[in-house]
Order: sequence, then C-alpha cells, then structure tokens
Amino acid sequence: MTWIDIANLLINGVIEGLVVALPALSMTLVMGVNRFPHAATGDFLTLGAYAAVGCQLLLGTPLWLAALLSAAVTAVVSAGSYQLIFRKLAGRPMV
Amino acid sequence: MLAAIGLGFLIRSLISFFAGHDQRTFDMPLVRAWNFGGIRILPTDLVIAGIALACLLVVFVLLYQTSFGRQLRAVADSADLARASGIRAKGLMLALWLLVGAVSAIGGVLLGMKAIVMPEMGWEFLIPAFAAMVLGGIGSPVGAVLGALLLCIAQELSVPLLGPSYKLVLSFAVLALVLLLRPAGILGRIQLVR
Repeated sequence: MTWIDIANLLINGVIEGLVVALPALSMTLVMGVNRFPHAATGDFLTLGAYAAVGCQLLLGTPLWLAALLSAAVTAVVSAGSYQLIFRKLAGRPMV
Repeated sequence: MLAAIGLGFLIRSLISFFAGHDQRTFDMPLVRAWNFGGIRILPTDLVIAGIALACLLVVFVLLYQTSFGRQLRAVADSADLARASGIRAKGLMLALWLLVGAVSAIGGVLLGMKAIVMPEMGWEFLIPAFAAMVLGGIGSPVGAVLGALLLCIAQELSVPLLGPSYKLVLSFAVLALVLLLRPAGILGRIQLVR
C-alpha cells in the first residue's frame, strides 16, 4: 500500500464525491423546504442521463448541448411531479 | 415519502420501456490518462470534477446571494412565518423543483460520463446520496457537500481493505453509524432548522 496508491484512491474519491454531492444537495434542498426525503432523486439522475443519450443519438447534438437540453427536460418533469403529486400530499407526515 | 418511491418506479419503468435494458454510453473521444510518475489522472475525470464544482458554486451563489435563495431559506426555516411575512409559496416551490430537476440531471449526465448508462444507475447512487445528506446534517447544504466528499473518500479508501465489490456497503455502514452516534450529522441540528 504505497503512497501513490493512496493518492490515486484519494483523487478518485474526491472526484466521485463531487459528483455524488449534486444529488445529495438536491435531496437536502427538498428536505429542508418540503420536509420529506425525496426518494426519486436517483431516478431523476437516470432520467437526465437517458435524456442526454437520447438527444445525442436522435438529434446529433454535441455533448454540452445534450446535457443542457436534458437538464431542461428533467427540470420540467420534476416541476410537473411536484405540481401533480407532491403538492396534494403537502400536509401529511413524512412517510 | 412513499409517493416518491412510487414515482421512482414509474420513471424507471418508463425508461426501460422506451429505451430497453441495454447499457449505453456517451459519445466521447478516447483519451489516455496523464501519468505523473504513478499518479494517474484522466482528463475526462478532471472535466467532470470541474463541471460538478461549477454547478455546486452556482447553486450556492443562488442560495446565499440572491433574494430567491433568501426566500427559500426562510421557507425552510419556518413555513408559517414565511407566509406571514409575505413570501408567496407557489412560484417559489415551482422554481425550487425546477432547480432540483436541473441539478439532478447534470449529476446524472456526469455519472453517465464516468460510467455506463443503464436504468438501475440512479437507484444505485440513491443510498450514498442519502447517507451523505444524513452525514452532513439534514437541512444544511454545505453539510451535504461535505458529507458527500467524506463519504466517497471513505468509500475509496476502504477498497484495499474490503475489496471493490463492497464499496456500497460502506455507505450503509456510515449511515447506521451516524444515526446511532450523532443523529444530527456534522453540521446539522436535531430539528429541521438550518
């Protein structure tokens, strides 16, 4: 277990930690304001990735444009899910 | 909430209905890792980290410097007092959920760039995200980022001890430990007040 291996693991950990921080941050925002753990955050991740893949395959856009489009689509789905599902359940207990 | 779990099942089923169960990848150019005498860094990984950092900075600036963020923090503190001081909840909530969707989508694209894209991908990262939130203190955004960094560093550092297939087990273990020893997390308090 040399220092070089530990440094490699640390770098990988920091990079993956920055990526996992994004869904953790979005779950914290929803938890703070709406007071329930948002268990579909992982599926918003999947939806964003698939929307970007779909944009790249079907429309042939470069990756950054596909990412922005998929962010817009997932934002609309998320706001729609709030409007249709979570607003009606607003007063209930946490589960 | 259980409704969120149901929504997750719905989204996952719709995705695998339309796109099938095969794994897909993004179209990215093939690069070699830079080698600094043993320390290997992939340029793609650096781009991923940079974009994640930029996204986090944007969200934090939005939360702490703009009036939208101030209203959001007020509603998070106490919804009744916020309504009494004249903050309209409806547009605020809509904007919040739009932001949540956009941030999650960028996170998903970055994860897909790092690995493959398959329907179970998000479900696998839900528990580490939740453990990061609990570790950093529920209701504290800075705590969530700190918790995510600490959790993933701990996950990677446990690989020589436990083997690469047990990385996910560590996030469960950390979740259990935090809930047993210090339920408030690092930067949180027992109630949901920032």
